[in-house]
Amino acid sequence: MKQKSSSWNLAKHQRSWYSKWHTWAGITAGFVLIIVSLTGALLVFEAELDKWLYSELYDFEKTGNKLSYQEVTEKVKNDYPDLDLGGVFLRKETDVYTFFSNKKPFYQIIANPYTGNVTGKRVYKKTVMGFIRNLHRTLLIPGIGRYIVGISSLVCVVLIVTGLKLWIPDKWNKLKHKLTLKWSSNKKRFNYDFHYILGAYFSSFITIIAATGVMITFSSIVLIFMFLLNLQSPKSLKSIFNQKSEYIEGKKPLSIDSLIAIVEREIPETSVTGIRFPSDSLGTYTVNTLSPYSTETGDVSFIFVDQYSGKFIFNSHKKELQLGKLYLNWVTPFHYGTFGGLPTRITALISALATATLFITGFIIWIPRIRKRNKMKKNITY
Amino acid sequence: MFIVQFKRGIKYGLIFMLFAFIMGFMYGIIGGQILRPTAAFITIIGIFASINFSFTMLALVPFLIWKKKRRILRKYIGISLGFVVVYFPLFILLKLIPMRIF
Repeated sequence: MKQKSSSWNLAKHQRSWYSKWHTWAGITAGFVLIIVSLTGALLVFEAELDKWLYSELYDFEKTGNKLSYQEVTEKVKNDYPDLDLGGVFLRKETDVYTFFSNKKPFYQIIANPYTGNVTGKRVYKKTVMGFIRNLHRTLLIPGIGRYIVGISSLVCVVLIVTGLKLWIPDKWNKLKHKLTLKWSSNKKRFNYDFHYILGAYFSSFITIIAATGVMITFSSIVLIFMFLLNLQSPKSLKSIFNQKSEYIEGKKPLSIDSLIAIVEREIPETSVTGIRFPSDSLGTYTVNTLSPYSTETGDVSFIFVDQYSGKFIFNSHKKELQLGKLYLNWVTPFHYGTFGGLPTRITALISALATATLFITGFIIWIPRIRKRNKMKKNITY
Repeated sequence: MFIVQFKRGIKYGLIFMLFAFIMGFMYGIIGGQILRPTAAFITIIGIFASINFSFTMLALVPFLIWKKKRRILRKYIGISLGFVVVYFPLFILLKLIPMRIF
């Protein structure tokens, strides 16, 4: 009796089509993905590794109260009058004031939050973690490198989709077989089984990490669409970040302390995590804030504040910017697995390692096939 | 032909939504929450579907000049439109919901 085929089942020509796409997509993007996934695995614990590698920068007594942004900024400006400071951050992971300079080679200055003393001045790109971050984002190729990484991440999503389509069992009673590894099988079979079982188990996490990677790389395009889908007129990144203050002659810019007071009054239960200083007399303060939220990373917002009047020119904390909030609160935390704390970070780390392993096992599957095909071609020719 | 592809697009869109739900759910459950990560990942897939549709519109231009192979274009537009039809109500819903999800 002829069995009724399910729509999940693939005909031979379809299987061959998916298989070809899967193989060639893997070969095309595989080498990039192996670099990106291994560096990505290290970047999941970037702050911790940086603290461990450069412990002297973070080695100080934690006694007394932390100094305010204003106090530390004034001290650093006095110590480094020649540096054009662009802004300062106080991140939860590192718990130090980190300043950055506006001009090349983009110095990073680390200051003790309790005394304001500078513990180190460095160019982050030249540190171990800076190098790894640069390799992960751009493959060390200026300009086009980040797009190669972005496109490879998109190919990674294609790999997962085609891989899952090839993996889905034609009968549901074969599911158990498709999810368990036979340790007694020969090397070739073991490698094949390991490839598709590993892919099946980690497909969810790899897809999310790769898709958010694409969003980060192509953020300028994605954000335009986010505004459109928010049913608002599209705004480019340039127009968002190019806000202007209303210049008032003779009036001094707001002090950092008053700026923080205004922000904390306007948005209750929020804490300031960073401030970007105005670049000139028309520039604005950009204030990064963190409010309580269901994720470990919190509710991230950024606000452009007029440097003279303290008026909010752009505020991402607004309710109507749902998709903007999706980008700020979910895209990077999904990518690095930080949204759920240590369990999701470990998941992101293992998923990154699994991506690299999938490429290696896939390559081992492909090599004998290509050798066999070449041998057959040779036999036909002679 | 177009209607067949459009229906196929709706079917694929729903399958992608189901997989996005499973994927978001699995990542979310490890992080100790389900609703928001699931909704976030479904929305991300919706954003990709919308970007893809705009590329379909761009693909119209060369095909308007080059009259051959229009069958491929119909197929592409049909499937992409199906995806958008599946995901667009989600964005309307996000706009109408009085609370902040993300």
